[in-house]
Amino acid sequence: MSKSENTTSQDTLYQEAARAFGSEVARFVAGYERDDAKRQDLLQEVHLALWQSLAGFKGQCSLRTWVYRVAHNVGATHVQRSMRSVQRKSTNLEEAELHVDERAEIILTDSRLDLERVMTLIHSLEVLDRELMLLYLEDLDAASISAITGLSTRNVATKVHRIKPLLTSRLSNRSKSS
Amino acid sequence: MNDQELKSLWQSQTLMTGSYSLEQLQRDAAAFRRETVRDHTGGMISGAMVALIFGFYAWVLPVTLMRIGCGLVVLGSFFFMYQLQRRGSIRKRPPEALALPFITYFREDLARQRDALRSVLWYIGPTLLGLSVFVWGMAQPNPADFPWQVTSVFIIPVVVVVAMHFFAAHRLQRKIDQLDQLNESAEI
Repeated sequence: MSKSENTTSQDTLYQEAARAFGSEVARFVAGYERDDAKRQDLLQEVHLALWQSLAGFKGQCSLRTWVYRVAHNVGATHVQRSMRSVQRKSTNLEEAELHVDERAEIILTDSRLDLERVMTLIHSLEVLDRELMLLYLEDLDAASISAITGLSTRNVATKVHRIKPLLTSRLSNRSKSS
Repeated sequence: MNDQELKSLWQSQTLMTGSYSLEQLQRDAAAFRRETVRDHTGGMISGAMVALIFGFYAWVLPVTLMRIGCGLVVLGSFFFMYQLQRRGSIRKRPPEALALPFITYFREDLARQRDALRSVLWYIGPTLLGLSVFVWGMAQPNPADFPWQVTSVFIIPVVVVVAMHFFAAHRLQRKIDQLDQLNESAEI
């Protein structure tokens, strides 16, 4: 394949990917960065990485898996970079289970409050657990999550099994308090 | 709210998806390449400056041992620039590496960072050898005049920097081991 044909295919693939998975990518990015301005920069970084990476796409996996992997890998790198600069501490799933309702509540509309609480939980997690939770919220099955993360399906199933009550307890605590 | 409702709520978020034209992405990619080249050039210029300064000293200084030391520092600087060029190009990953499964990607990234930290001795070792000979030359002809105070100004920071690099590399290795354990436990 000539270079120009390759570039055309890369451009076409990128446009297709951005159209089909743009919303998911934006949600993943929100899971990795809360600050609006920084989130826009990160989103741009993900799109740039996606476009560049698609030069090497030869159908090794589905386009969706490819897009999700790039989005999460760039997101995780961003988190690692920010943690190095501000020494922020992430928690793993076990610690998150212990600190389910420690954060102050803000009175917002019900659904927004639910989202805020979930987002707070997501942002407190380590990158791998965060990726799992984001993929779980996108309603992916264990096999798809396994293809994106590289974890075995059994490991994914175990972790997802622990995510479910964590989310439920977050939201039930809000219901009780309201 | 049950699981399914929460997922629907999550997926119904209205977020800016961003619209990036291909021209903009090409411009961004070019800007990123320029930034990388600038960083690399900075390292090369530093190496060249050290080589020039110590080359000048090697030319003008009277004590042979000091001149040998300066010559070794010059050679060390060239070696530093060679390592920078070689390791820099090794560290470059193809863009499609970003589409590896997270565990593989993350492990490779940690290993790259660890190796870069461990390679610190390769970067500064030869220059340090030249500096040692240079300082030894300063103590001639009477070794009792060895300038320990001046030497400690070179040696202590270097030892601290090398130790910090190795400590950071050790911490990264622990993270890599944790990732490996995660995969091993999944395979059992």
